[in-house]
Amino acid sequence: MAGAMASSLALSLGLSGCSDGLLSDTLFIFVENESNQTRQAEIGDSRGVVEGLLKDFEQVNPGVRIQVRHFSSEEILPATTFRSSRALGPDLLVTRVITALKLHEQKLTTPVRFSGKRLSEIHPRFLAEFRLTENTLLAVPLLAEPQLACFNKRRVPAPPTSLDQLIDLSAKGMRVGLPLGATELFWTASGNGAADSLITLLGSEQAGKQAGAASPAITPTDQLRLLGWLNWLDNANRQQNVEFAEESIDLVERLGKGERDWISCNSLWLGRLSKELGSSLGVSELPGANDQPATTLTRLKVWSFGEHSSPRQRELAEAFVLFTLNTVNQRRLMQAGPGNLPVNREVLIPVKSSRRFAAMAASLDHSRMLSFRHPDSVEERVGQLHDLLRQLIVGTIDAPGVLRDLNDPGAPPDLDTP
Amino acid sequence: MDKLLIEISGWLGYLGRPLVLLQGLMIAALMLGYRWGIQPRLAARAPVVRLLGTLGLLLALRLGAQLLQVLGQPSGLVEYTVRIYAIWQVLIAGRVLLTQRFGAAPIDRLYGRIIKPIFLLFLAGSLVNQFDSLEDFADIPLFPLFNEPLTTGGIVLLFSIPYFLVVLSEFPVAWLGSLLQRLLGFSRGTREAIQIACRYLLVGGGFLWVLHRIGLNANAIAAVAGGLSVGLGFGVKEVFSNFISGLWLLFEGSVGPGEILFIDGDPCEVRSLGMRAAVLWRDRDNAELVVPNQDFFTKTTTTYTGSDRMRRSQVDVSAAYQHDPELVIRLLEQVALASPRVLPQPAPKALLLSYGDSGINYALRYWIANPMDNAGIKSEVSTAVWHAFASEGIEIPFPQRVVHPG
Repeated sequence: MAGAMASSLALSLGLSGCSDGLLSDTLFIFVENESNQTRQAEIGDSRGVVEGLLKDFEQVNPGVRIQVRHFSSEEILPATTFRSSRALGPDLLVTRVITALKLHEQKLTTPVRFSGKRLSEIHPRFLAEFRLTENTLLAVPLLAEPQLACFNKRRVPAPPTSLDQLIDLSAKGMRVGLPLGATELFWTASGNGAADSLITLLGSEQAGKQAGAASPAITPTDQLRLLGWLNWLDNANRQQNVEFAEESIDLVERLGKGERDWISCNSLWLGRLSKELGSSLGVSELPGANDQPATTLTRLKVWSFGEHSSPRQRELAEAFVLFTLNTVNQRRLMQAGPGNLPVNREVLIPVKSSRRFAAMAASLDHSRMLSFRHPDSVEERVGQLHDLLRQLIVGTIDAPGVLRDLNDPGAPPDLDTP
Repeated sequence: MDKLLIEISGWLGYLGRPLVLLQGLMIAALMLGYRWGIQPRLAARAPVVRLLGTLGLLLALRLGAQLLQVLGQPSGLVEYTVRIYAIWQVLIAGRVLLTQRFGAAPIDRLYGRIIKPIFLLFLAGSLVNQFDSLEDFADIPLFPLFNEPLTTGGIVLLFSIPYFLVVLSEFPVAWLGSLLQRLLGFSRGTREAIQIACRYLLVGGGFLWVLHRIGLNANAIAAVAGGLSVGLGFGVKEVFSNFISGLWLLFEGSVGPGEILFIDGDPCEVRSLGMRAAVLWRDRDNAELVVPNQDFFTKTTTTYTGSDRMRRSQVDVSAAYQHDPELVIRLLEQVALASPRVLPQPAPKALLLSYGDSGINYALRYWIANPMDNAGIKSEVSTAVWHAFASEGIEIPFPQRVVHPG
């Protein structure tokens, strides 16, 4: 056994000596899948387009191979830790923002420095979150995925433009599907005037200012606004045709099967929904208040750089990231993946020729980014709120009870609540 | 297949990383140093000394990993090697201990058929997991099979699951068989028949599950079955006929393992009933006969174990004319009853068969418990008859030829 192991290892090491001949330059990319329930990748719905992109890069860089591995959101952090402990971690990762920030926090990724000229091509609003110094970023934005309303045009000729109208239409028979996630329900908070209060509650901006703050301070005004929002959710839940789902993918499935007429969804699901609903798929901005669209949270796919790359791999990784950010490939990704919007501001979005792109661009314009500088504390608050919202939906707690529990997580349950 | 080769060759890209090379060099140096420098010197020493040598190598690898950690460098590959090598050494030590307890043959079988294949699968899986996502690796398409891509994971399942079902099903099925035997009072043959039928069901069901798991849809499986039916009708009719005969015989119970059959004048014990043929053991010359199942199905079979396991045997003997036949008959029956391996019930019976040229011909008929013991018991009874005749002065006649010269 010892001899066999040692000999095979010696052979491998011998091969490594002729890296210009037998061995090609290989770039290892880890991709975070959208959901634990699906293998749809963050890099886009269309694997064909991604493969084309990789092939093009390999063609302009002869002798370079790119290997892509997919992991679910739950697996990607442990998988990267596991392989990094062997120096076998990825050269690049495509993940959601929160995952990228956790990777950075755990020192599993390294910052990257790009020239000011290249960075100026990326829209500044996407860069703020990742900027360490003037030209150094801890992660690099790749694509944006706005939140939208997805509906069946045969059942919903004109989508609701306000939260009140949403409830009215549901009373008239429109079957509505809403997600339970706090960040995915952010648009409903904005329509109830509680967007800033919810941001404060989640500790996002607060945590950015005062690191380690366990529980952000919520003013009485915030409390009132949040109560208004929770009451609206409670009221929506009492409607016969409104249904809440634990996972977004459940809503997407139900819309595709015709079991829902209107859902709150992310643009990354548009490819799948297009296949299932065809021309019946309608897309619009999410409804806010007073016929104004809601404010949504921007969802980004970002690149992060691994920590154990060889100098050549690092060079290739940076080249590949810039390759995916150039105007040609950003346009290509936008057109091939129906839910992708470019982060390169020089790429024009065809808002006049496509209603879908128009809705996506408008939603992006009305969106903001949740700051994740302390991702663990934000995630903890999001998880806590998610649990309480679940209890609100099943009726084991009322809206004031949710607020009370949020203010004092350790308090015993109120037995008077229904 | 190209994709698989590209994927595996891509792993060599990790060798371009200095920290991977450093770990690899450390592992190679320590293991080759042990293999070439220390192991030959320990070869002739006591097992305990050799074990200490192995522990020394593990300790050196562990210290190497520790050193890398102190230097703030990744050491996971060295630690992984320590773990794999330690597991291998535990398996070797376990083999030595088990061999001392149970003997070499069953442990060699256990290791050759179960432990080593499982370790090999574990090693392959864990190695892939070091370099790749197991899920992605398992999804690599190799070639199309009935319009569905057969993946790496599918190939592994296709070979490993039926293999382990065949090998491992033996134990739970044997347990189930003995449990049912105890509860319902089956014969040994019935128990073994049930065990074989259960194994067929398990392996067959497992194989169908694997076909479904690797993505072959029901239509494809039906098409395969249809194609096989035509093929069976023409090409492998005999094989299929033997297989069906074997199954039929199992359920009928006439040729189950443990049954005693009369083949070409000899009693033979059925050792196993396979898919194509039955293996029978012939006591006379310790030969194993491989008889196609179809033969039992289409020809008359003489069995000694149909309703019970007793056999009636017979010794023929002659006594001279001057002896009273009643005396001879009584003596013969006493001799049979005195033989330890002759059953008292049904009682032995001696008969006067005929008046021969040289003497009166008698037959001594008696029952024995195990048909396979017939030859030995017959010899014992015949010897006892001779002694009894000698002590009673009964002459055993033999033909005499008188030649008159001229």
